[in-house]
Amino acid sequence: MRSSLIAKNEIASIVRDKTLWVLFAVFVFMTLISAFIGWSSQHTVQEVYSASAAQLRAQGMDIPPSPLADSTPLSLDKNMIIYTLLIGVLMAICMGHNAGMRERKASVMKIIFSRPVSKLEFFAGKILGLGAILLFTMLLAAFITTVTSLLLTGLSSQDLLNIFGFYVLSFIYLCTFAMFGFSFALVMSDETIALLIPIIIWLSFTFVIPEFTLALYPTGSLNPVIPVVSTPHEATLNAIADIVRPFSLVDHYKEVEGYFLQVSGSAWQDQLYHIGAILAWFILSLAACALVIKRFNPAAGDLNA
Amino acid sequence: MHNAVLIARKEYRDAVYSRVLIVILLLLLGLMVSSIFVSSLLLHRQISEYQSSLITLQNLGKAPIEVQQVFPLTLLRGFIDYIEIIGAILGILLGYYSIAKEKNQRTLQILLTRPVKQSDIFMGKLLGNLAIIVSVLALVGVIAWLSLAFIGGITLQTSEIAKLSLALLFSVGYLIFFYCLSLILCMSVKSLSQGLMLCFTIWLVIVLIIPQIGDTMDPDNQVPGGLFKSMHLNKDQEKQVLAHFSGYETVRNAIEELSLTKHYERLSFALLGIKDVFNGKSLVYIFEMEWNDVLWILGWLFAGILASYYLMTRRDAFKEAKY
Repeated sequence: MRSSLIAKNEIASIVRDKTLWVLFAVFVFMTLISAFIGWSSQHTVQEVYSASAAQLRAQGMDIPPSPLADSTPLSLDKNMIIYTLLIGVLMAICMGHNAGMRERKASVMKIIFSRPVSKLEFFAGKILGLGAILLFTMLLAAFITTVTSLLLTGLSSQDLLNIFGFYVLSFIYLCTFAMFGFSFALVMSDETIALLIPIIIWLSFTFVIPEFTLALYPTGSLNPVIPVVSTPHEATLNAIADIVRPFSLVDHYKEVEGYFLQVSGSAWQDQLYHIGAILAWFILSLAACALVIKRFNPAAGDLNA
Repeated sequence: MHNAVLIARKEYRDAVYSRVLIVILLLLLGLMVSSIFVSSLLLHRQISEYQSSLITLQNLGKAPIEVQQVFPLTLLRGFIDYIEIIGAILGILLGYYSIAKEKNQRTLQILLTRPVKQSDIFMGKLLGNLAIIVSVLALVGVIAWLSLAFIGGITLQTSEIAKLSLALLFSVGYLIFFYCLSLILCMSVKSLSQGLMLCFTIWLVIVLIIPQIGDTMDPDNQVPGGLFKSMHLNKDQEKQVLAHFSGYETVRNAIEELSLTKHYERLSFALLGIKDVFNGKSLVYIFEMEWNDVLWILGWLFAGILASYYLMTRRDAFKEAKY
């Protein structure tokens, strides 16, 4: 009961936070234009293909099949994979950080725990509040994606299920990073370091690890189109990639979301391993959070205690 | 001016003793070395593939294929990417700490009771952080040079060292812009952590989102391996086809022009020959082709410096309750 009160308070605090509103607005805006960007680029690619084919025909050369022959309506939304990886995760980290830091910064931890509220109730309420906001964000994004896709191309019932699957997984992914932000905010005595560590973890997952697993340049990770060569074809790099790949949360996320948005042609059975890896990271972040809460000392919890 | 130099020295000393900045510096260095390591392995693989195909052709009695030239600075692509992403964060943190330490220790009011002008404080902070950024990038440049030599087995020519130095010089401007942005936001927003989060949001848009939109709209990037490669079209044919889509390309280019990072990337890629057409070209040629990006970078930089100067020298800049 007290947890639900704390959750409501957490939601109200997040809603009042102007910085989070900016991130939320950027995320919603990018979700809105994502399908349009996808549609306009695919439309142009098709026209470029037609123009190239005409040129090849005039030269009497063979014309390769259209690269978009197998494209599906949902592939228009492939940029959402990247926007969730970037904007969604930064928003989740900031929310988690604020949830863990707010009372510590206001030096009210001792006062809160002088009331009949347990650590478990307090932090469970905060996590529930965080989860509710992230769930709302994902539901809103799913609604926007559905409407924009319907307007631009039309969707089947299978496509709707895929959109649902996409955002359920995104919700789990964002919760993982929100937990990182929350945990470091409870552990660290310096507010900046508490925010910086989860950001470094996020950047490492997003840009550094794919450099070893897919030999991608850091900014190459921003392209949702999966490269033709999935392994570097170099003995040492292959060995490193084999070791690192199971830990590459971003690679797992991109694979499954690529499957949901029908960008990659892999079978659903292949996705079980990737979904398992994402769930493992989520459980790990929850376990780390539980450990942090267990060890948290309210008497010394205020930032300036 | 003497006061500004004193403040600059203090800024530099504080940064040297800051754990966070040391961690970010080590991160930048580690990532850069790892990126050169990966690129070198791939380059060595390409060279050995080229040599084995050369031997196969010789055994078959056929004429050797076109000689493959190696442009060592192209190995620094990951290095430039990391300066774009992590370097910008370093700039943001320097700006944040410049203001945070004064706000937290309430030292600005004390400083202003002394015969120190607000412009001296601004100049001191700017000069001190400029010195920090120059030192960091000089160190990064030397490590890149050594990594190329020891990991890649490559010795740089004088002209290549000059190009690398110029790329680092523009990196200084790039990082100073983010320093100014952070200074402005942390001065303007009541809560320091909110200022930092806002900085990260703007960083996300400038460094990652806008370039991503531009890249995604590039038709060639829409197909794994490249659209024109899949169509077996050469560069001239690609240009002829794209000439029909000048309107679309103009919009795409306009979106990219909004991002300082994209200008920095274009200029650095040109200087280091990462973009093929600039390989082995003279500096005069590169600047003739890239003057637009140079102007944009300088424009962003001066706008950032002027805005932060204006904010820090306002009469009520340090008088508010937030200090």
